[in-house]
Order: sequence, then structure tokens, then C-alpha cells
Amino acid sequence: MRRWLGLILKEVWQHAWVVLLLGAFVGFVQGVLLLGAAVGPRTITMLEAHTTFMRFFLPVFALALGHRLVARELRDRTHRFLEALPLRRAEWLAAKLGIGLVVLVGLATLSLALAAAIALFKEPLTVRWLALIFVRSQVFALTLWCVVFAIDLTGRWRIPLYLAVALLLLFLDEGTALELERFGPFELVGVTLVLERLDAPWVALAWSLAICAVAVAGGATLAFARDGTVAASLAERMSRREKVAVGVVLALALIGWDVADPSHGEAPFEFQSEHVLRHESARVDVLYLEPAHRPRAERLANALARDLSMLHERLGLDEAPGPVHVALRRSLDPHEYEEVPRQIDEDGVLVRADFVGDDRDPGRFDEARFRRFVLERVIAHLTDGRSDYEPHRWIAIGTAELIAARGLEPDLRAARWWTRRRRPTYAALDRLTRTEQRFGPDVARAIAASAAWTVVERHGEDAWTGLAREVLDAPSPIGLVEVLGARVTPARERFASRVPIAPFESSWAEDLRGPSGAPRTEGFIRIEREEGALRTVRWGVRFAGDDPAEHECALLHGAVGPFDRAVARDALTREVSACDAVGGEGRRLVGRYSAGDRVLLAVEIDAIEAHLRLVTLRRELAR
Amino acid sequence: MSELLVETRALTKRYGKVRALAGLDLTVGQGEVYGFLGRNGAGKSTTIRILMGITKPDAGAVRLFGEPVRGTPVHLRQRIGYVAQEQAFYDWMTAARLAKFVSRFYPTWDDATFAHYAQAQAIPLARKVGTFSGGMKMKLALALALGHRPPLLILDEPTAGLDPVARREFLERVREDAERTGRTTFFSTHLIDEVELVADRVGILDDGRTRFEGPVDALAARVRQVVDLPGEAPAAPGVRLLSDRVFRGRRRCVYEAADPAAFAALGVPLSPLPLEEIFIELVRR
Repeated sequence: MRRWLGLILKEVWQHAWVVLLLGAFVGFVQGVLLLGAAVGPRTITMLEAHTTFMRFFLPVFALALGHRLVARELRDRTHRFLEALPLRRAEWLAAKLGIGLVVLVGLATLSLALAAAIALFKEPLTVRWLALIFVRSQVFALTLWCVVFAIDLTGRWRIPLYLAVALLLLFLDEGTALELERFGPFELVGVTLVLERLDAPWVALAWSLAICAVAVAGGATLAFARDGTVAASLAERMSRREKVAVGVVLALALIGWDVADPSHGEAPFEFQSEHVLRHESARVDVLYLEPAHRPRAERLANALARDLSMLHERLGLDEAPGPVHVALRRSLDPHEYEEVPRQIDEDGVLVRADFVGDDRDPGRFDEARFRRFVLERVIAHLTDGRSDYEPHRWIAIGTAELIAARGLEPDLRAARWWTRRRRPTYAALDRLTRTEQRFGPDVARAIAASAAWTVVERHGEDAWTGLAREVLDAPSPIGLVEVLGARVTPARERFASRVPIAPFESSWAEDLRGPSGAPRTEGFIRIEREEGALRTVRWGVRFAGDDPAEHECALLHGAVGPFDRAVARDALTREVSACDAVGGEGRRLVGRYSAGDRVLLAVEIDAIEAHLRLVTLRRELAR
Repeated sequence: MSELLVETRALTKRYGKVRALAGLDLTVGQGEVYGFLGRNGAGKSTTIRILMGITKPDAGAVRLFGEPVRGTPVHLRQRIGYVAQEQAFYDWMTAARLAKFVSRFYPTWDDATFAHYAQAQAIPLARKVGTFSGGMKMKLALALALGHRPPLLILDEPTAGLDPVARREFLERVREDAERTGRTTFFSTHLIDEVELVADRVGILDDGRTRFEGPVDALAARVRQVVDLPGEAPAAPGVRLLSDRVFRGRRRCVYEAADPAAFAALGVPLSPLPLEEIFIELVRR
């Protein structure tokens, strides 16, 4: 016991200040990451700061620790002094392995504790959730340390080995179909680290522990080979010849990478068909499939090209936005549009839609609506997704709406309908995603459009353009400082610097005054208990005077994950019914959900060319 | 001989293609100061590393304190004071902190004993070891090795790299300690004068084997020379001609006999050789 104590105290004496510095640095790093998470456009939970720490900072700390604890002991030959003491080689190696592990596990725990402490104020953390994150973090820290420990025993070859491992992983991830994030330790600290609240990734945990065991076995083999003389000789400094050899191998590997890189020289996206209309601006092309659809494609391409040109001008962009690729897909509902997720740095936006529509129901394809959708996606592409950040969304949507409306007043009816339920304040714009979840995308769009219209009408075009440029066209931040600098000025402050908020709110309310044209209705959703765990959803719409037969009503429903993330309308199932059939006691949805399910339920009515969400419920069904 | 503290039989060790030991036999009795003599690369350090349990032999037997061992166990290593050839101390530690660190590995550690040796050798305890000279580090190593009052002290070429004065002081300290405490001391060297100065018994290691083992006097009596001998070198039973060379115009024949009485049968006037000459004759090829 005294021997172990001696070893531990020695390491503490030797490395305490470094560990303390690391601890302080973790606090600093985590502070910055938490600040970043707080103002980040896509932050779901503050615990995401912990993921960033685990993925990018813990490995750096592990390398530093490995260097101090293992590599330096061998390089300085002080292990010979330890070997001369009444100690087994396994003892001092185990002490180092244990101390390194304790430090790394401690740093990971500190990071999680800091993130959880902040998240606790705003988020419903549960013990199970935190326990899952804790276990995943600890197993990752363990695996990381086992690998670093083993590699550091290779002495002067450790840096070339680290480089080789990094290049190999990069190649596997980038150059092959293998998704590293779905494997072992990489999965443990993947995006699901802080998003998965229920299930433990058992396979990934088992793989990670197996990798750790193999690494420790490999390290032990190296450390004990020929009475430790192999590890000791490996720790000698690199000769000039060896340095040259490593440099040559590294250069060859990089050249090989460059040659083999599958993304190298990849041609920009292009439709491979003779039925493609390429607009002269070269920023829009439309795949129309049949010669008969060419006139519609041409019209759409012209309209989109004009939209892009206006966007270019309004935002004062250096380069023309886009390109936009539109593919005709007849199987889609004319109201449905699909954005194809792609790695589109240069390839712009690819959207599928049934823009023909005429054969079955002329006029069902709403071109203006489609153009608004495309413009929003183009803006999202331009801003690297920052326009999806909730406080920015209304500005992006407003910009798209104003351009699509070509200077005319946008359709404000849905916004007017909304003012019967809520007072129009800037807070609704700041929380547009939540407003959208509650009242539906059409209403949210109308709210943004009406606010933008009020700004233009009451405060001038320049006020709006200036705001849009500042929020949407700010250069993409490249460093941490820029990221923080760019995002800590909230959109509300930027807005208020141009348009005083109180007068804006009153003029906005004034502009929205007047009838919306929508029927006066009230929706309801009730959860009824059935036998056992089964639950029934009873829903309906009550009309106050208007004729229900003129309208279509629907229940939108779907199981949702553990987080209050925004759920797209398309992701929900839609039970449509004539509104006169859901009055009174309403309709029942039986057998779909059970106690304990977390669901999103909403009742909509189709009126004034919009889906108006009358009531929305997001909850876990009671047991 | 008194009770044996160290005993090896037919010890062999190879490092790849290099044969370090090829059947080494040696014995060290309690209370002896044993000089372990050999050329560079003869296998002295390998032997000591095996005794310390740092390296394992390929074959052969080792007994320490009467116990047969293979890979010296910790409880026996705690009874050995060891001074390595090169001191790989932690430079950032002060001498006092180093002693504190080392003390945790020895149940018999005695701060007073360490302090005694440190003081006697004027070791600055508050200074960082990284600032010490080679000689000072060796003194510190000796104080650390003796701080736990070991019954057996093993020194691996402890004076290599020391200046003549420091070397002499160090050896005198070792001898004085052995005489005062009766501690068994085993030290390796390739310098015969160190053996003459300090050792009671000597073992000469040549090419991984024991070439001679016995008291220093017996080594001196074992080898004789004849200078300017005319004609053919005589021979006698029990006497081996080690060399017959002409150096600076004078012929010298060197003989070795396990029993010095056998030299008489050569019938020529024989004279003794200095120990250094004897060592050279025994290990030269």
C-alpha cells in the first residue's frame, strides 16, 4: 500500500499543476462552449457543450497527459530509476494507467457537471438521462486513455503513429462509405451523446471496452517485451534518418490521399436528362421530364431566376445566390415540396415538387408559395443554416415573402386570424418556431410576412434591407471569437437599433386589424383512457355560426422524441375529415397510442388558403 | 565461507544474437566486499540487473539470502541497496523529496540513517537533483541505497565518470561503511585498483563466464611471470602458459596455476605481477 501511495504521490507531485491547469482550462473551455451553445442557432440542449468538449478537447488533454505520464518517463529514462526500486514493472505502469484514467474521467465529469448545472435551469434533466451521458462519457474517456497509453509506449514513434491513426480515421470517414460516427467510441460521443435520453448504446459500449482491452494488452506486451528494453529503446530520440523517413512517408500519404480523395475534382451537381431547362442566368435549372411540361418549367425558371436576382440585390451579396435545381416529381402532392439533403457547398439547393399539377387539378400548384419555399432554402444555404436560428427565422421568411410578393402586400389573412388569439408582439417573432409549432407553418409564415410588410410600409424599405443584410448576410464566422462576436448581438437588438419596438408593435397590430375571413371556430383534443395502457384521442372542431361543410378539418398526430424539438408538419400523420363530421363530441383516434407515449397532437382547419392550427398538444400520455 | 547472500549457477542470458552471460557462477558470502571485475561488455551490468530482478535470466539459478529466486521478489529487493551505473533521478525533485519518495518503498527506511550519509557526504538536501554534478548524484544514490539499512549493497560501476578524488572518496566511504556495519557489498568495476583498494574477494568475468573467483591475495598468487627467458617456455603439470610475448625488446612469459605450489615445477625464477597486469592477462584474447 505504501508503495502505491508513493507512486501516486510522485505523480501528483510531478503533474499536479498541470492537472490543476487542465481543470481550470476545462472550466474556461466549458464556459465558452456553453456561451456558444446558448447563442448557437441550432442548439437543442445546453448539454451539447459537453459533446463538443468530449469530441475535441478531451482527446487533446489525453495526448498532453500521455506525453507527461508515459512518454516523458521513458524518454528521460527515469523509468530506470523506478525499475531499480522494489517495484514490479506492472505496478508503476498500472499506477500511471490508473492516474491518467482518473484525471481524464475527472475532466469528463467536470465538463458534464458544468454543462448539467447550466442546463438544469432551463431543461428537464432526468437522472436516467444524465446517467446515460455519464456512462458514455466515462467509457469514451477510458477507451481514449487506453489507446493513448498504448501509443505513448511506442516512444519516438508515437507522433507518427498518431498522425497515421488520424489520417486513417479521416480516410475511412471521408473516403469510404463507413460512417465512423456510428461505430464504437465515436458513436459514444456522437451527436446522440446528449440527445439520447432512454437507450444505452450497448454495442458501442462493448466495442469501446474491447478496443480498450486490446490497446492495454498491446501496451503491456510492448512494455514487458524483453524485460522492458523494447519500450526503453523505442523511447530514444529519433535519428535524423528516421525523421527523414517519417517525413517522406507522411508526404507520400498526403499525396496518396490527394490522389485517392473521391471528392477531389467532383463535378458540380447537374441533372442528367435531355429534359432540363437551364436558365440563362446559369443559377436555375429545372428538370421537367416530358416535353409537354417545358412551358411550365420555363415559367418557373424565369420566376425563380428573378427571385434570385432580387435576393442578390436586396442582400447586396458579392456573388449570385443559388444555384437552384428543381426536379419535377409527379408523385408529390402539389402542396408538398422536398428539399434533398445534400452536401451542397457549391451545388446549391435541390428541390423536388410537382410544379405541373394541371393535368389533375389546374391551379393546385401554388407557384408563389413554392417560390417562397425555395427562397427560404436559398437563404438558409447562404447563411450556412443561421437563418434557421429561431430569432432570425422571421427575418429570413419575411425577406422571402417580400421578394415573392414582388412589392405587393403579402397575404396577411392567416396573421389576422392569429391576432384573435395572441397580441402581436416582437416576442412572437423572436419565438417564431414555437409560434409555428402552436399555430402551424402557414400562420407563422403570415406572421413573419406581415411584420416585414409593416416595417417596409411604416419605416421604409431601407430599414428592412439593412436589418436583413446585417442578420442574413453577415460573413460566416470562422473562429471562436468571431462566432461569439457574431451571435451575441441578438436579432432583437439589431432590429431595435433601426425600428423602435413599441411603435412597431402598435403599427403592426394596426396593420393586422380587420377580418381575416376565417370562420370562428374552436378545436379540442381530449385523451381518453381505454382498457389497459391503450389511449384514445378524441378531437373535434366547433363552429360558431359559420357552415362547417365548407371546410376540411384534420388531426395531425405523431410520436415525438424526448426533446421539445420542432416537428415538421410533413413528419406528422394527418387524419382528414369533413368539419361537419367532427363537431359535437368529435371523432376518436383509437389504438394508435399507449400510456407513456410522448405525442404531438394538433387540430387544423383549412380556411383562407391556409392550414390554421386551432389547438396543439405536446405531452406524454398519462399512465 | 560464511553464509552465502548471493549465489548464481550456470547463469545465461542472451539479447537477441548477443550472448551476455554464458554460464556464470559466483558466490558472495555475508559480510564480504566483493569486487566484480570485467571488461566493458563482459556482462557485469546484466548480472546485476538479474540479481535486482530487473531482467530475467534465460537459464541458470540464482539464490539471494538463501532463497532460490527467478525475478527477484519485492520483499528481497527491499533488503538490497542498489546504486546503478547511471543515475536517472527525477531532476525536478529536491534530494530531500527524492528521499521521501524512495522511503515509501522500504519498510526498514530510516530517516536518520539517510541523513547521516547525506550529511557525511555534504549532500545539499534542499537543492533540486537536476542541479547536481555527476559525483554528487552518485553520493546521493549511495545515501539513498543505504538509507534503509540493507544487509546487501550492490553497486554497478559506481565510480564510472567520477574524477579521481571523488572516486577515491566514494570508495573509501563504501569500504568504511562495510567495515563499520559488516554489510555485504557487491560492486562491479573494470578498474583493478578499485578492487585492490576495497574488495576482500574478487570475481573476474570474461565473456559471460567466471574466469576467477577468490580472495584478492589468491588472485595475486595465482599468476607469475618469467622475464627474458631464453629458449622454449617451460611447462609443468597444473601450470598454464597464459602468454609469451616480447614487449619493448624483453620477452615475458606469464603463467597461471590454481595452486601456487605448482609453479616450482617450472624450475625457472618467477616474479609476481601487479593486479592490473594479472587482470589483463586473464581476460586478454
